[in-house]
Amino acid sequence: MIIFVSAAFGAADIDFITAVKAVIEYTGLADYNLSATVKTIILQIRLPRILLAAITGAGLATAGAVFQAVFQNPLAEPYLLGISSGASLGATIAIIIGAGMFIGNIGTVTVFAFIGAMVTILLVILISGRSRGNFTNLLLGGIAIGYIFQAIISFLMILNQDKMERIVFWMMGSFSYADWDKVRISAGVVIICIIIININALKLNILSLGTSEAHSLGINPEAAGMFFLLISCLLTAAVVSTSGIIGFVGLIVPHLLRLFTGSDHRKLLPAAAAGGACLMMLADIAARSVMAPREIPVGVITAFIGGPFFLIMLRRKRREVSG
Amino acid sequence: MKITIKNAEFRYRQGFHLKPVSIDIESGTFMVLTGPNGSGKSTLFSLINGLIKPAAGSVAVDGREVTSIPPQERARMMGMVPQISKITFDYTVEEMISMGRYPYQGLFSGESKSDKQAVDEVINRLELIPYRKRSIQSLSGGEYQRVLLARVLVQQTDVLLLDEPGNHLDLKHQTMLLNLLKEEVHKGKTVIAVLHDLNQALFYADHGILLDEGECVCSGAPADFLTRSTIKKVFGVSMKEYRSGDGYVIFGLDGSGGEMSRFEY
Repeated sequence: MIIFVSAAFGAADIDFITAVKAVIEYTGLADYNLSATVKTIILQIRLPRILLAAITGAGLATAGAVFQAVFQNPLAEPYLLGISSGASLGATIAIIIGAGMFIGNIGTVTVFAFIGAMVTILLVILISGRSRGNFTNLLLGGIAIGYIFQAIISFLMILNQDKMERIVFWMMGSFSYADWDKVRISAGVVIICIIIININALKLNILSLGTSEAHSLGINPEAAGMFFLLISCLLTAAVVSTSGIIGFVGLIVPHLLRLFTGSDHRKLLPAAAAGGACLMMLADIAARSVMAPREIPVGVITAFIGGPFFLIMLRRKRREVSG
Repeated sequence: MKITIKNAEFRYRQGFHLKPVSIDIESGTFMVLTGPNGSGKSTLFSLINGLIKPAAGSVAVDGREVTSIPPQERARMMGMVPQISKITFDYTVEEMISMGRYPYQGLFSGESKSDKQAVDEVINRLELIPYRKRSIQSLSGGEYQRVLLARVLVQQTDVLLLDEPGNHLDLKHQTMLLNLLKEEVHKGKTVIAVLHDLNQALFYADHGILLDEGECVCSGAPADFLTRSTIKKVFGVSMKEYRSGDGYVIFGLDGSGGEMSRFEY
């Protein structure tokens, strides 16, 4: 539903029904004789963008829920281990050496951002080492590496001021460069990771009780924690490298959904993925239409809608508990 | 299920050293670990549970090194009631108790009929039916302690480890808990509990260990080593000894030092 509503929004004037028709026509179920322009706009520009938004939202929300459980901290979010800085550094380098290039069908910016994100995670894990089921070291390592990378990015930006706007815009997160190749790649990684995480949801419940309880209930907390972190980092890297850094979704969506589903990750994880996808699609509609034809970075929208909404939910919940 | 601890020792980086301990724990034993705060009870507990690996010596269950047993299999052999700590996420009582069935579940099998049945039985047994859908964070300390006990019973292990299980319970529920544990011991299970109440230790335990500054100072039947002089030496508290008609020794306030003989501290 949101997909179709969203498809109707945009610079060109195409109504909701037409958008539905275009998709139906694409699937070959019927023929409405739509103009080629309309079809191109819907199928080649808007649809990939909408799907990329949905995938990104689902991925970030799932990764956020996992991070919160593993760190046993409701303030944890997918960028905690410096992934965002790593991806930004990768993207910055790619933009500076020439953004127009492609490796296969994928732009160098995406590839470099992905490599940057994964290298960061490996660095953080290598440097912080494994400390008996306690991931605090990892967290500190991630923060430190994040700062170092940020410094490098700032330095590179000063040296290449002509590319600064592009870099900053990338970092704010946007779906405006979406195309089917990006959708395919990120959807592949994201869906597989989400399925693996959901299959292991009960394990995540137990892990969220803490090291010693998880141990006595039959889990190796170190191994399980590392497993979940690596998968959700891969998930986050896939998402960040295609869409830039979109904040708040990974933090807030799991919280929001927890108010409805409770903490059981078997219910929370699927709900968070769906909720994240919907929220991101809505945010993208807003990003495209609030100041049309100019676009607002979608990360700005997520923070703007997400923040106050979250505060309201929090207040309502507190009232329920107290009275 | 026999637990064999042979010269097991452990040293934390911060300096605490649990000196070599050796004990054999036969199945059907109610064993109590006691001693002052910081004497090494929790460390010994973690060694038995396989949470930490002994620096030297060994801890074995039925001849197998405990840390080498795969986690799920180990969790079908021994379960633990931890000390109450703050839980970040708010599960319901039923969700929490069901987690005790994890050791029996495969990746794709989910909860089976027997899992559900085990959970129902224990919820009935511990009179937790009205709490079923309640959130963990809304429970009192005592209620939460009962939920943790329920979870370990659902785990259906031969060995039950309990870290100060009576802490948050009122007198009635403490007695209920200890009677329940005694029942389990009669069924052939092994109970290993950290207890601070020496009278409870005397009344319920078949075997006891007294730790002081990382050293096992006494081991055997609690009635044999829990004497006024030992208590004075280890805890630094003067106690009076009362003897009940049927021969039980009860320790109480001496009154001279003004120190408490209630044992939580």
